[in-house]
Amino acid sequence: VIVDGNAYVGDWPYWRLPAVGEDDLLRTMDAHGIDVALITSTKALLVDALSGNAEVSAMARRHPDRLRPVAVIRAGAAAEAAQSRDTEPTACRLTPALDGTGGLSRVDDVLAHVVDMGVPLFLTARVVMNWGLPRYPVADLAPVVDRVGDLPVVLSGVNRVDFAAAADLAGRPNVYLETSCLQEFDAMPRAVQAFTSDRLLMGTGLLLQQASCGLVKVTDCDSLDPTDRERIAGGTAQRLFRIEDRNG
Amino acid sequence: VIVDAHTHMGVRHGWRHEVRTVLDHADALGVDAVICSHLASIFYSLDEGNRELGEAMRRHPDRLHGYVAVPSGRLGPAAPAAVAHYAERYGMVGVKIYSTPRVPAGADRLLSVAEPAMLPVVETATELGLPILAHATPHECAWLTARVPEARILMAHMGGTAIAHGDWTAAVDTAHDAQGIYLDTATSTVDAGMVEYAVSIVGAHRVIYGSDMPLLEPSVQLARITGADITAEERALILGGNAVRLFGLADAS
Repeated sequence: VIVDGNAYVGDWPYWRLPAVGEDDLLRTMDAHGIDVALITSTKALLVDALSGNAEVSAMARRHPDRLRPVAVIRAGAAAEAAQSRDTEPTACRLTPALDGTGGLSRVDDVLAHVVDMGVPLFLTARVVMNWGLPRYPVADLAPVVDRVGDLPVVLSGVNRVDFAAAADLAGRPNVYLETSCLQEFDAMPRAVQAFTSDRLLMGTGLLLQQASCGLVKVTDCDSLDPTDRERIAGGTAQRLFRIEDRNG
Repeated sequence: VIVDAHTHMGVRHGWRHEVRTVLDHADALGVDAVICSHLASIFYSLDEGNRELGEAMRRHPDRLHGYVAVPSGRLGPAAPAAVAHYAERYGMVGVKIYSTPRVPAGADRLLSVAEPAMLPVVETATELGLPILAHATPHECAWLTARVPEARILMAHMGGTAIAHGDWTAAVDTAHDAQGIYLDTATSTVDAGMVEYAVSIVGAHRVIYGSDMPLLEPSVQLARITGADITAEERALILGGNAVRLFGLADAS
């Protein structure tokens, strides 16, 4: 089973995307052999968390075997986080670089909702690996890890600049890493060394990033053993997000 | 034919890149030839890296081509002289220049390729028919081609760098307005639609495949081209046809 642990759907103001909506999303997944994707709404990231989260939740209800919704939450927006519970998210996502909050102050109430829901939390350093878009340093995300107990935390959008800070958190058994922004030579073996494949999730960043790039770094990586490759490509995400194999 | 027009060898800050590593990965990906520059000559010495690369080219004459790397035009007449010398001595097929406007931290503009001191290097390369791989912003590339209109500038990373603020749209638009600018596809940015936009605006004949290996993961960089929504003819040009034409590799390939 191939699981894309970091996919996006919705419009995007920074450049023209070849594919945007729900049908495009499913077509792109089919074209690349991706069985299941965890989807985050770009509308939720950029302007309106409530309606964006509701949209991806509706998509997931229409395609329960293919799509899993990730709810965007924002520091200081506890009421939004509370309402996000209604969308029954598979995970939540905190993206302080892009969500208009300017940081992580007043995040405790929001985190309380996530802990109460018991779903994994994505902590986003960057949405895509583009040097022009905002980044939130992993080192500055680290305090959140201390506040969620043993709730699984997925570091998202980590690139070479942030990898050392991410690896510093790898000693905590509840910290995972998704791979969509790791483009450096031998990044996968180094990620396995730091996190082990039990805590690595393949992410492509589709529909914002080119899906094939996210896939080949895992599926074509000769320096990974087959077990590690299988876990990163889907096994770890299956376990973490309780995704069943639709093929049995 | 697949030609990787952007590779490196050498050592920098703990990263050691042997030419064997580059060629092994080229083999694994079905890349027929690579064009390489030496990190020592990009960042340190006009001669040390270029000489080492030249000797490596002699050991792999069928598939390892070279850029003469010039760390700065501020080295004076030695810089254009090195271009002529290494092109003649080793048959290097291009020149590599590199802007470091944010290095060291705190300096706004330590070394930009867009300065008068670099023009003799660009002029010499152009007189010798050598394209220039410029790790530079779109603005810097436009600055150079405005002053040396016959120069052929291959814009490294096509805007997908920190110094260019990731603005590949600006890079493509700059190339559209300057016929001497080509776009190198090597970048850690894998934004959906990036390669397709470049092809639609400047045409596939000015987009050239590069990987930046062994700094970036080469399989990802190749997938940017093989996975792009472009025609087979466009793909063939980007992956090798353009590099063969631009760098005169026909015989070597």
